[in-house]
Amino acid sequence: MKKNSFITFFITAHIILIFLQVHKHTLFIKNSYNQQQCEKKIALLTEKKQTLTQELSALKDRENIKKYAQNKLKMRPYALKQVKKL
Amino acid sequence: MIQNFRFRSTIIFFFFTTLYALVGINLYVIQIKHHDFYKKLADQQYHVTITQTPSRGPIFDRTGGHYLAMNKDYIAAFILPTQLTDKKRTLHFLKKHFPHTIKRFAKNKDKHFMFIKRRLSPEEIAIINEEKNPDIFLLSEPGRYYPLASASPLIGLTSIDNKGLLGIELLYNNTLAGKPTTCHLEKDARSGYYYFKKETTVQGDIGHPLQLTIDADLQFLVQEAVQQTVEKFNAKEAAVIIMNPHNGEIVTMISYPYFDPNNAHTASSDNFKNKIITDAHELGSVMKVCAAIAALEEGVVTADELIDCKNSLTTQIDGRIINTVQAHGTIPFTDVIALSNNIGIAIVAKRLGTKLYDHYKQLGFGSKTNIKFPGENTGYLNPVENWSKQSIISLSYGYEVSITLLQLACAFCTIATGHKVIPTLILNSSAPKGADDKKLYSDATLNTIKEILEKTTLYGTARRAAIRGYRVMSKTGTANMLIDGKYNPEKNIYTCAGIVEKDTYQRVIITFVKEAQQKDIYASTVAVPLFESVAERMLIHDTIIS
Repeated sequence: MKKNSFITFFITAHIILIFLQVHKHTLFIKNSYNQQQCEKKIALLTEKKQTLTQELSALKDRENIKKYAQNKLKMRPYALKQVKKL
Repeated sequence: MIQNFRFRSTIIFFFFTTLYALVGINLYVIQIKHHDFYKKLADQQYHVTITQTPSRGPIFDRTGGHYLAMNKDYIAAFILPTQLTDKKRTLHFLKKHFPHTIKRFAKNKDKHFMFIKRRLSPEEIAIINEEKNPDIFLLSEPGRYYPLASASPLIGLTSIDNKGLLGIELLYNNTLAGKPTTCHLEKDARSGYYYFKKETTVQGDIGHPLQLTIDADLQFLVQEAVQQTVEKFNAKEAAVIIMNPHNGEIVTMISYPYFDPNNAHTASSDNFKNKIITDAHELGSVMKVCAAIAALEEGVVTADELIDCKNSLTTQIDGRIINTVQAHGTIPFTDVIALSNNIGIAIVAKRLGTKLYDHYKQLGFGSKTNIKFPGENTGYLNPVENWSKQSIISLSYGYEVSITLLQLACAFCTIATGHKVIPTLILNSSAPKGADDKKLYSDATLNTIKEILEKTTLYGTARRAAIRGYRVMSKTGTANMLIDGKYNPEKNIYTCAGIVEKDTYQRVIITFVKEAQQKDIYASTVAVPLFESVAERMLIHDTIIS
């Protein structure tokens, strides 16, 4: 009886260990997949950030700002003597 | 019945035995005999080595809020010449829209890959997309975009493969580009994108950003002033440099004409140079300041000493003819500089002799400034052993010595602080920068020369550079250009160099204009108004209000 219990225990333990090993590997692949998806998302967001940075930079173009200020807002450049310290 | 059964069993037995034997042989062939071949095949399917190039570090101005160079993806179009499905249609399309590729196609028709064009314009991308030709592929490639064109001779640009070619992009290519990382990926045979395992075999480095000492806003404001001057005088070239004399930081650097770095293929190669650093000139009278500081330091003259300027436009010293623009009689040494009299400075320089050479050397002429910029010119300072009788006279008012505008700016930094200054373009760099501890000139000499320069601005040749409420110390120079071994009075360069001061605030400004088309004009009408305009813009920008 003891011998049978030992064999049963031995086989069960091995089955559990094999299951755990397979489970570990599945988890690893799952996490690796998630990580790669996140990396892909980061790459997409970085690309988007780059595009937005370029657009922002284009909006900050000094020549355009100057034209807008002078034509639309009717602003004029001022001389140093017009500036007073309060 | 039993015999029949045995016979059939034997056949089945031998059939399966043969089958297993075949499987066994096959396994032997695959696993043992052709082991290396199949292992290699499997490795090719399951193991991939990739090299990831990091994105290039951006370049910022001194505020850190403005990009001077940023990354931008460009689109390239390519074909696979050996795998064209509709060759006739593809070639017809290429002939119509990209005719230059036809010749290349004839040469590369047996190749597996050929670029149609890299860095496509939005219009070209639209044409390709409209065509919907399955033989034409689009590819995204990293590239650079430069928002401030006026900084292009300084920032430089990258090649089509995103490697630094000129300027800062070349100088700091390793820092900006980083190092590629090599990874080993374990994948299944079918998945093209995902992998099981990733192993880094060569650890790379990211592309580090760079922060320059340049102020993008001030650069833009100064560029406007330069452009106005160039248009007004129809000049061939112009340049402005603003430096902080206390730490050697270059705040603004304009070399006009500059190229459009985003369309560099259309630019003239001459405009790629940062002429402030790469071109040396004989700058004329602006160098009188350097002769004067040498004379004052050596004690061969005092500011009040009366110098006989012969009251003539032409005179002879040691049999050498000296011309000056305006005749003056006996005037104090201060006025010799303020009124820019060639005869007066030549008389004083004669007293200095070869010591003038030592002082010019001390001020950095004839040697590199240590800015470590590609193509820096050392200029030329005629060595004493090559001197003729004319040399001491010529050197006193800026001939026989050619210097870069950066060297002149550094010399004025020395006048402003008394220390030798190493110019720098990189903010918070570890490289040695700023003022040297050792003072090159005594305080008395520095104070006297500053007073002389202030008087030059108040009533001398640089009158128009005066700004009420600020101490402006400047000197002008108009020099004939040396063309084919002869000085051409029709072609001149105009310079104004000075220091703008308000309490502890100090900036050195150099303005330079080359070959203005109008005749009989001097630096006082060309370079000095530009100096004043630049100084005003700078003071407003820096909110230095009196």
